[in-house]
Amino acid sequence: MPLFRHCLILASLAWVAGCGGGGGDSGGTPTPPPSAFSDPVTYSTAATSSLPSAEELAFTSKHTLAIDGTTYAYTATVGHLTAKDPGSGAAEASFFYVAYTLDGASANSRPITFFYNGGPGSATAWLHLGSFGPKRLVTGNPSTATPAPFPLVDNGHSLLDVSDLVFVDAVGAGWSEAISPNVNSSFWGVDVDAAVFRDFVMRYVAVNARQDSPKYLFGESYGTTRSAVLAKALELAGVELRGVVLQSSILNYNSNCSVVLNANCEGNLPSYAATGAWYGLDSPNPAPADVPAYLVNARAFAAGVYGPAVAQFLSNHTPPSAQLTASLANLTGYAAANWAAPNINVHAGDFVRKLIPGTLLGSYDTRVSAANGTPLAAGGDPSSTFYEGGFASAITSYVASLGYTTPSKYILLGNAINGWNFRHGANPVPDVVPDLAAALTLNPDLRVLSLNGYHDVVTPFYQTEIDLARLPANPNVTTRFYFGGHMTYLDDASQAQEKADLEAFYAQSGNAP
Amino acid sequence: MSRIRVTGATLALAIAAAMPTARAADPPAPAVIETPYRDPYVPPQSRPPQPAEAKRGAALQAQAQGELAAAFAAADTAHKGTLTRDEARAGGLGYIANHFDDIDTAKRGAVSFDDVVRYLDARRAAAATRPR
Repeated sequence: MPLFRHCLILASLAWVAGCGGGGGDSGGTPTPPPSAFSDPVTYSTAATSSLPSAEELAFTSKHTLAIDGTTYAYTATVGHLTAKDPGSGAAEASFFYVAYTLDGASANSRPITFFYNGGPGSATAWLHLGSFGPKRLVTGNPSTATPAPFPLVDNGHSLLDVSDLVFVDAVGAGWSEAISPNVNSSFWGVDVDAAVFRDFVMRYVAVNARQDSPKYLFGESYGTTRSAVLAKALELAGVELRGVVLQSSILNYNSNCSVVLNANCEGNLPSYAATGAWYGLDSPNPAPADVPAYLVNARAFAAGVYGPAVAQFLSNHTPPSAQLTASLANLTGYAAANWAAPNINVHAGDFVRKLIPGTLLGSYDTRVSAANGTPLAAGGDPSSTFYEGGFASAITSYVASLGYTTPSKYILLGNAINGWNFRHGANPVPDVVPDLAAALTLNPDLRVLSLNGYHDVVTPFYQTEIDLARLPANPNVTTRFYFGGHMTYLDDASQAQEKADLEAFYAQSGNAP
Repeated sequence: MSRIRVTGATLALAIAAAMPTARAADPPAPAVIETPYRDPYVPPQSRPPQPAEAKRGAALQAQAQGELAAAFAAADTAHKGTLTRDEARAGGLGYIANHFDDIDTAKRGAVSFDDVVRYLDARRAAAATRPR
């Protein structure tokens, strides 16, 4: 059994208990460090709930991790920090976080990355236990042969060799909660959420003296929406970022045809082509190694032929020609009759149900499928149904293994999504490309890395390329693609490639002045 | 629902209570999934029937600059058209306060949004010359 040394710290008072460690020269029996911290506070993510007040408690433990043959000693810190209004100093919310910091590193030069999932209303367990933390759940993605519980293993592709890592849960998720007189729903909106995340980041930086550390944001899905608004907010507040990593982006809800049904689904077409190729339905069907080149052509067809045809249909119901529907069927494997009527603007929800009759594909990862009527298909998405239960049980037991326990329920996916104020600027649903443009204007050395899965039809990769192409040409914005769905990192091979691309990104952005 | 405000004293009790647990603890309850909705779901009543116009290129850049101008104006509560370093800091514009000396090239002790734009342009030009 590994011997961990634990400390309980109260950040705001610099009060430390049980950190004696190897003492014993104090005369009597050395006080053993506490092996765990049972948080007596009850947390709720209900819309109208709030904490009367909050302390900044944290519990630390020591660990090691081997990455590429080198052993890294690190500290895991689990606890809460209080975001405060920068003007009044009033407490806003108590954020639950888990931080991993490399022992012995200089805070001046050691990068730090803040990770969060999206939803809105999702806890950050997916990134925490699936991607680049020190431990990782092995799901076998895209296979569904071995169901949960998934093995939790040392993550040989953790980002910990490159950056310190902070995984933080939004207000309304995990064990994060508003502080009175605010309530949780006070922070359920595009702008208020980004503002309170800004205040969390600033609090973390202040408490841990990370002012000079190169800073990065790593958001997924709605977390990319948050990242654009947050990057602008942090830059305005004087917190300079080095990089923003966008995992499976939704930067403009207006352009996503699953959200706005009259939006042009042009951006989905290459994902449909990738999915058809995976199932051997495209004609001619590309070999796996040829898929990237195949999708270059699919993008060109989407931009030059399909997108304009959809625009015609949406403006005056011009039906597609038989030649076009045949071409689309060859490109994607989706039957010509499905493109012909009643709507050439094929939505992802139809594609995943009709590509293979009797079978439902995952929207999050179309490579995962299940026969209609099976338990895996019952939840509406075989890919997410397969892994969600495994993450739900692993996150609470893993955090307990770091020494932190609470009787409160950990909310993995909460109801915030139903009460969220999606309005942003003049738009009913957010377009945050202008926010990203503003952040890049304030900080022209800021780098953006967009990571995308070919088989994700909820935030399709080509739509993200279209959205990012609205920015003025900028060599600091790079895009990468992987075999995989929304959570590309669940796929072992893609996770290794993603880690290599992240290493290159951190090395490049580290050159900033 | 009762909540306990954690003080040093109650915390010590919590630690003391936790210490004798040599026996294997029950595994914690799994995390809870409260909603069937996943990103990028938007409740139907919040969805517009048509997508908003997506500005690009120079028009997008103009919009972004307009939003920065609005942030400047919001901090300029005295409506002077300028901000001192302290006013910028108080208005949440740490960016301007941190770079104040570089923005205030005329050394007036206060900067206009035009001064900020000149600084942004100079910074962009300097960044463009750096190796990628």
